[in-house]
Formats: sequence, C-alpha cells, structure tokens
Amino acid sequence: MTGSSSNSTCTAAAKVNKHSRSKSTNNYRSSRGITGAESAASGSTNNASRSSGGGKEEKDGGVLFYVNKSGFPIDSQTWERMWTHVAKIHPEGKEMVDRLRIAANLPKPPVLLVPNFKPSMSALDWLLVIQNYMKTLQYNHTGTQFFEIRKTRPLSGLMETAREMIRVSLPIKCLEAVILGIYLTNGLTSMERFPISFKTQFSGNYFHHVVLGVYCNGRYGSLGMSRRPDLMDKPLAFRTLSELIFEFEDSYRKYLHTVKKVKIGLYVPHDPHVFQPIEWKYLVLTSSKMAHEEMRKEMEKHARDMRMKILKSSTAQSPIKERRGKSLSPRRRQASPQRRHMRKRDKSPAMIDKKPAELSTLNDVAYQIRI
Amino acid sequence: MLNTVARTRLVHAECILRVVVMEPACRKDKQKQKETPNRGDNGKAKQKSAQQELKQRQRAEIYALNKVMTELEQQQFEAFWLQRGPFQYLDGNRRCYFEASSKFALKS
Repeated sequence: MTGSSSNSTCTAAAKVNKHSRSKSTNNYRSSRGITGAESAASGSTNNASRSSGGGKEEKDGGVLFYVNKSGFPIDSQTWERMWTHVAKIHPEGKEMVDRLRIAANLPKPPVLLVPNFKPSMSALDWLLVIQNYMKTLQYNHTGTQFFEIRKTRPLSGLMETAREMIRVSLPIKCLEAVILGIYLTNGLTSMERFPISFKTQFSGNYFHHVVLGVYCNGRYGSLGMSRRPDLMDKPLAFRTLSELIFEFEDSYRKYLHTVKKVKIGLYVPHDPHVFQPIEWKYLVLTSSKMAHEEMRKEMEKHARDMRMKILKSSTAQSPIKERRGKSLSPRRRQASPQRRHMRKRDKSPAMIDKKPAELSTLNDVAYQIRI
Repeated sequence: MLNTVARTRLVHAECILRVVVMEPACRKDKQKQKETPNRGDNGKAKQKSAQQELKQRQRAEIYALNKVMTELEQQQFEAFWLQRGPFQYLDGNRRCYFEASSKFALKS
C-alpha cells in the first residue's frame, strides 16, 4: 500500500535518505516462521485499522470489525451493517438491537467541548486533560469504527479527520486516539510525539495495537485508547524509551498476550498542514527473538537519534527500499546458503509459537482477550 | 487622524440617511417577503434540521449500544478469568500469579 502510492514520487528521496531507512532487527533463525505466521495472520488481525486498501472489513484478533467510510450522519447501509453485526455478537441478539433502536427516550450524550490549552497548564496537566477527553469519548466496542484512518495519508489530511472526530464526538479506537492525540498536542512544541505499535499473540491469534508515545522534558509517556486501562496512557515519568516499552510489555503479560513485535515511529511534526505522512515504523523490533538487553540498546539508540533529530522519515520509500541493509527482513532479500539452511530448519510456525502448558495453547476458550 | 474621524462621521451620517430614505421601501420589501416566502431556503433549512436530528439520534443510539457492548465485554472478560482459575506463568525470572477473578496481582 505504501509502496504503490509513493514509488513514483520518491525515488530521489530514497537515494537522499540513504542513511535514514527504517531498520528491522530480527533473529534470522526463526524469522521465516514468524513471517509465515504473520502473513497468514495479516489478513485476519488488525486492531489498528488499515483500511486504505478499500476493504471496509477488518479483523481484530480474528473478530470482524467494520469501518465507516460514509461520514456523519452514517449512511443507511453502514448503519444497518453495524446493527446486524452486533446482533450476531450479543447473546440477546436482535432483541437487544430492537430495544435500542425503537427506544424513544435514549439518554442524549452531551457533545464534549474540545479541550483548550491554557498557558498556565503544565505538559503533564495537558496530557491528563487530553486523555480524559478521549476517555469521555469512550472506547468503541460497537464493532464499527466510525472514522476512517488511512495511515499513509498526509498528516494534514489526518488532522482534518481529527477535527471531524472532535466535531462529531463519537467513541473511538486506538488508531483514532493516536491521530486525535497528535492533533491535540500540536500546540505544545516542547512535546515530541511518535507512534508505538505492538503486535502480540494470544491463543493463536495476532493482535495489533498502537499508542502515541510522548517525550517532554526528558521523560517519556503515552496517550491512547484501549479496552485495557494499562495499555493506553502512561504517565510522563519514564526516564528512557525502553522503560516505557517494557512497561507496556509487562502490561500485556497481565492479559496473557505475548509481544511479538514492537514498531516505533519517528517524531510527528507539529505543523498540522504538513503534507508528509506519519512514519509509523522506523524501528521494528521482533521482541520474541531478541534479548532484553539487545532490545533496550536498539531502543535507546533510536531514542537518542530522534532526540538529536538526525532521523528522516523514509515513508516515501517503498517497503523494500526501507529494509535494505544488515537488518533486512529475510523475505526482502536473498539469504546466504547457511541462513537458508537455518531457516529451513525452523520453518514451521507451530514450532515457534508452541509453548508447553502455557497460555498460547489454550485455544479451547472462545473469548479472546482483545486489546 | 482627523481625516479618519471625519471619514467615520461621514460614514455614520450616510448610514442614517440611507435608513431614513430607504425605510419605507424596506418595509415594503419585508412585507413582500412575508407574503411570498422563499421556498428554496425553507427546504434547505428543513433538510438541515432533519439531518441534525438524524445525527443526534444516531449519536444517542451509538452511545446506548456502546454501553451495552462495553458491559458485554466486561462480563466476558470476567467470566474468562473465572473459568481459568489461578495459575502460575513463568517468564524468565519473573512469576505472575493470577487470581481466579478479574483482579490479579503481580509478584516478582
């Protein structure tokens, strides 16, 4: 998706930004298995909606969710689809749906006022205000995402979507929260924002989640929305980026999720009219295959580079170009004969994912702990 | 400065003159408007009002639905933990002990 739209315009940029390609750190021995599993699961898991391909239907850990592309008010087709979907999920089914749809006196949710930054507010206060605002909008459990977010869109377009989210005032999911968080922190130039994406596994399914990392006055924190309260906002109290990421990993463990990959983007510009897209995954870490210390070092290096502002977005480049270099994902280039042999040994995804007497084999429970 | 003040006074004077001269005509225009309302504008206003009502209704239904689905999710989440019961999970040097309820404790 990224490559097809930007190849023609950004070949020159690919050469200029030779040293600014995103890097992926993998353990080559078992990466093919992971890749195979990932490719099998990529069409079936997407909590952070990637609807730029035109599909209105995505999956969140194996569970369908729809994306509204008709704006607001929602058109009848999308509206009916939303109700049909929840009727299938909810135990009371159509009865619940009818009860709500014919109800004459539904409580009228107040339209929230957009938070206003006051000069007397500290960065911490402002983050709290923004997070509370998002929480008041509520996490969207309806199964239909109300705002279409195409990650490859220019920032200016996504900021327009953020304005619409504020205007329309409806429940949101994690990706929408990131866009909204960027919009509401644009005015705070002392605060840097960058996306942090997680790919996790639970009970044989893959889940994707994204939060907005923030950095201000030497401290890291995050903003976001999730079904789980400790997988969204984190206080601006972490001294290093790795501390923040490991905190998320700890939180994931509480919900029996194994973190497979962490993707950290670049700082998002504060100018809401910028045409460049957000860099979502400049650094990709396959956490299940890396030692804790190795991950920490990679993250700290990335954080340092970001702070020194020496990194440039490579979003204009095709995915293939982005991944050239030592840390190339094996699917992007020919491996050495030795590596090919090693990959052949560890081909089966089942071998990699299987953990005896542990969480990921417990597939008998239908309920999936979604994030 | 003087010119600006004088100019402003002139503008005010002109306005007063216009009001005095045009008033009778304006009244006639207004009467005409009352007698023959602009159907195009009314139609648009009605359409806008209907759309506004639809938005409000949709919003109310969405939030009512979200409340129901949030409660369902919470029930399923709690039922999941109750079903699992307590267990120990080893992850390197860390141990997590999950109680048989939605609340859990992390022990290192």
